Amino acid sequence: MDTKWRKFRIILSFTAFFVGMTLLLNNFISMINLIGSSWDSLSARMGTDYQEQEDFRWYMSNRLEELLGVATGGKGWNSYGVTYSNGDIYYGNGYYNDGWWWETSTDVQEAEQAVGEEISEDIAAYAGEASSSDITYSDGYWRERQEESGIYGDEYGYRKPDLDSYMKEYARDKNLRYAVLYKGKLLYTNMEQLETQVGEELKNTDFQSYLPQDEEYNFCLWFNDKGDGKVRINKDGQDLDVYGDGVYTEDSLWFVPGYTNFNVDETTKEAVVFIAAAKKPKLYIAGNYSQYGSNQNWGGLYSLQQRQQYRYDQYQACKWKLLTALLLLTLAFLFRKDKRLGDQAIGRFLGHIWMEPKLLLFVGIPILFLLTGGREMLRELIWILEDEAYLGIEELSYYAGMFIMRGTFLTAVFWMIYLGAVDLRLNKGHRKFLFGPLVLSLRTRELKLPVQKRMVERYCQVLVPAVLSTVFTIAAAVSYENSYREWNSSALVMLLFAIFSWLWLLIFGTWHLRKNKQLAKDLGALSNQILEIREGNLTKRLELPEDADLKAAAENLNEIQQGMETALREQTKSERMKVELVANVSHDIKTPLTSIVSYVELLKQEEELPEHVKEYVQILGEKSERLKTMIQDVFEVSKAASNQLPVNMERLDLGKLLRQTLADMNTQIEESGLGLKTSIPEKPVMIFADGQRLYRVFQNLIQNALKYSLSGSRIFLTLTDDGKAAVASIKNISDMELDDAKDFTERFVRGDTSRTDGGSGLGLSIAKSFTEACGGSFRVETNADLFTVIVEFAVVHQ
Amino acid sequence: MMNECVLVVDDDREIVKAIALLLEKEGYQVLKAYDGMEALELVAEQPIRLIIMDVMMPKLDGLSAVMKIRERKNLPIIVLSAKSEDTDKILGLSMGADDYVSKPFNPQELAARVKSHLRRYTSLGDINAQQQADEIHNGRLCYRIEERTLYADGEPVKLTATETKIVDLLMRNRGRIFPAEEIYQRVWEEDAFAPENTVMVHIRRIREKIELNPKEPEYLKVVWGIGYKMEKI
Repeated sequence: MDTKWRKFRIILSFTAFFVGMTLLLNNFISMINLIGSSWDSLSARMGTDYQEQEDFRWYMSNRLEELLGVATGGKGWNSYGVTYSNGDIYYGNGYYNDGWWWETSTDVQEAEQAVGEEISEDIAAYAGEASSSDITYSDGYWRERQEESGIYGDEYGYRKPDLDSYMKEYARDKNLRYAVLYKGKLLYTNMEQLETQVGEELKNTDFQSYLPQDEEYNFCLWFNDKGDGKVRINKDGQDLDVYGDGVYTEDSLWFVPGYTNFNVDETTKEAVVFIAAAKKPKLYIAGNYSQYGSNQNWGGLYSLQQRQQYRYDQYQACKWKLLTALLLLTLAFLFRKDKRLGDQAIGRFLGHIWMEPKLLLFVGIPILFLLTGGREMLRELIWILEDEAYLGIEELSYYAGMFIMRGTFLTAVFWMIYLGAVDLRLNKGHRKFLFGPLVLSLRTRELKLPVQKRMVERYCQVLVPAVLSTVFTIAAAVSYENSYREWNSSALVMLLFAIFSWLWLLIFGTWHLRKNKQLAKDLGALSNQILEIREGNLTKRLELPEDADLKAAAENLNEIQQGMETALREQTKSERMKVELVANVSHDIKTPLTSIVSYVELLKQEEELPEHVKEYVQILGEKSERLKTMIQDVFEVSKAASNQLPVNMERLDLGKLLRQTLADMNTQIEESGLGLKTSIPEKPVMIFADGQRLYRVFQNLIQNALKYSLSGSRIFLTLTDDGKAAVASIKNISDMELDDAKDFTERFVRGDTSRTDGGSGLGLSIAKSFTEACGGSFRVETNADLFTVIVEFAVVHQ
Repeated sequence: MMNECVLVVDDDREIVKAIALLLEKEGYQVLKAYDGMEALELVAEQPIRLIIMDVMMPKLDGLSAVMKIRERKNLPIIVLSAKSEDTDKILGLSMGADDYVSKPFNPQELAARVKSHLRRYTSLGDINAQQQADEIHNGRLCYRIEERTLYADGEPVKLTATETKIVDLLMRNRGRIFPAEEIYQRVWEEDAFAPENTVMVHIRRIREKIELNPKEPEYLKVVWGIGYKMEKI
């Protein structure tokens, strides 16, 4: 039950929405007309009284003018108050307003049909002079009949009908009663009670009293009955204000003489005219079988009344449609949750359809609309809205007829767009493409290509439609020009191709733009990642989506990174293990060494030992001391090599440090018998280093130089400061021949390989690792027997 | 003053024996222990004046033993260790040891340290309590301004006139670093020209008189690249 009610609600709400929208859009233009008009004219137009309408006023003015012409013997009487067409007599047509009859059609279908096919021909037929003359030419029978009746159009050179026969026809329309007097004499009338007095002086000028009692004539117009040359109008027993403020303007209601700027001449002032209009005009038919059979009196007041009735019906229908639409839309709004479910159901249904036909339908139809009717309709709409005052109701109704058709089209366009939007919203992500497999295979193929080829291919895929669209556009334009600016088939085909190329360009362009944007982003991420790796961050990985162009590159980089990380970890681990090993070994050596040193000391204190034994003890003592130093050195150098040497950095004067070192080693230097030449600037050479470690560096270097120099040679110690770098160099002539290929700073490397000279072999190694631990650079240069060590630090300024 | 009782603790019996022999020659009475627990027992029973304690020992390690002893006794403790890192030294000293000697040590130096600590502990007692206005105390050192005499472990140090001047300058400004030029100017009272050697020679001589191990000075230090200073201890 519940689900049934729910289903019902869904259907109800969606149907309400559908019908409401359709009604609203179908009557879109008419509604704009309705709403766009001012209230006064709107209420009049929407009323049933045909006498309130503008066309009625014009009709009456024209009749007055005509009858005044008749009264005064002027030429203006034949303004086609009566014309023939198709066997009927028309009253008061052809002078004004071609289009009124659209609305006399009783339903929309007729109007549509008329717009489509008969427009030109019918408008021409009802255009008065043209129609009658055309018919006169084409058909001898009609000419004969017109000759009999004596009514012709004069512009084409035909005999003008004589006034009496014209007025005879004129009198037949009983909806309009009239009386024409000149100098008090009754000239013409079609009121039965007066007909007997034609040609006589009329005593009683109360024309209303002559009107037949069985018909209701509620509208009466008098001209000059008071001898003032003015018009008086009485409708439903009430006098109307004809002249307003007395000055005729375009906005004035009545085009009749009597305004201050619209007067009559003296001759006309002799005339008196009375016209009365029936409240409910009838169609009068004359049975002139002796002449030409039945004769319907179309046009005139009857037509005006019919037209207004039809117009009224139209407005009523429009109003009810509008109200229904609003009601239905309100209903749909109230049940909008259910309506949304309805949307979803439609979306689900649309989801099963391939995208391509949907695109064609939901995008193609609106585009078609825009290309064909839309532009014109918009132009007309703008015209109506801009110049509403200019347009009479007839123009509006003419366009309205066209718009009804357009309204249907508009509705179709709306629903196409609506369905497209529903589909777009609900079927996001899982779209079904007819060309889906094709696209998929294209993408698979693309993924197989290396990234550089992919990029080139993308440019081609955009370039081709770009070129094609340009070519087709030019071709279409040329074809259009060549066929005198008409859309012939070849131009249309070219245009179609151009549109396809544009679409192709648009689709591929957007797709590739998105891809390339992603590529650019990934490229940025990749270079950032490379920078990160360079700076030593090895833990962060670069994650790119599966289908990214640089996925392979990112993966490779990640692998390199991982390899580096592993290698670094291994290295760090092995370095640490090495230091631990050295630390453990040195600790294990130190313990027995302590005993050795201690017992050697005890031995030394023994007084009774023979001299040669004392000498042995002395040697033991020296060697155990050296062993102690070596263990310490090995430990420190291994720590320095694995960057675990603690340093205490401070600002210090390298020159002073060198002088202090030399002073500290003064005794050794003097004992060596070697000359030491120093060149150290007096002014401070400030650097940033650990003084204690640096002292060890130079101590080792000088000791090294003292130990391995050729006896009698000189050692050169120089310090230079160029403002940027402090460079200390120690040069000495080697006692031994130097092997160029040897790296002297490597651990346990000495000038000679026999290892009998007493050095630990760690001097230069310690010097190098300590220098580097302090942030300096250390290098050894050999040139023949010249051995040079260069220690370099950056100079620190204030 | 002699026959003071020193406790030597090390799990290496040979080392204990060697230290004992050396100290006995110096005239000390030596007690031996081979692990931390033994040491604690002996400390509780015997009138021990100084302890030499190895760090790495079975049962109870040296540092723990030091902490336990410190809870009850205030007596000098010299820690022996095969580790020579600065961090190890700091750890040992913060645990309550008075001195830290890394293995392999110089037996003479160890004897000198024992002597120094005992002198300060027994004959001088609490340094701060005895401080007088004209005395500058600095660890083992004491400089009497009036007398212009430097005492190490309570014994006067024989210094030359120049050395005394240097000591006077440095003791009065303990902790401050003096460039060689300044020392030269203030001691010799003339402009310095390449004073490094001269100053260094004197510094070295003073070290030999006041430092227990002149090769690794504790008091008179070279600040490489800057100058010289008397460490404030």
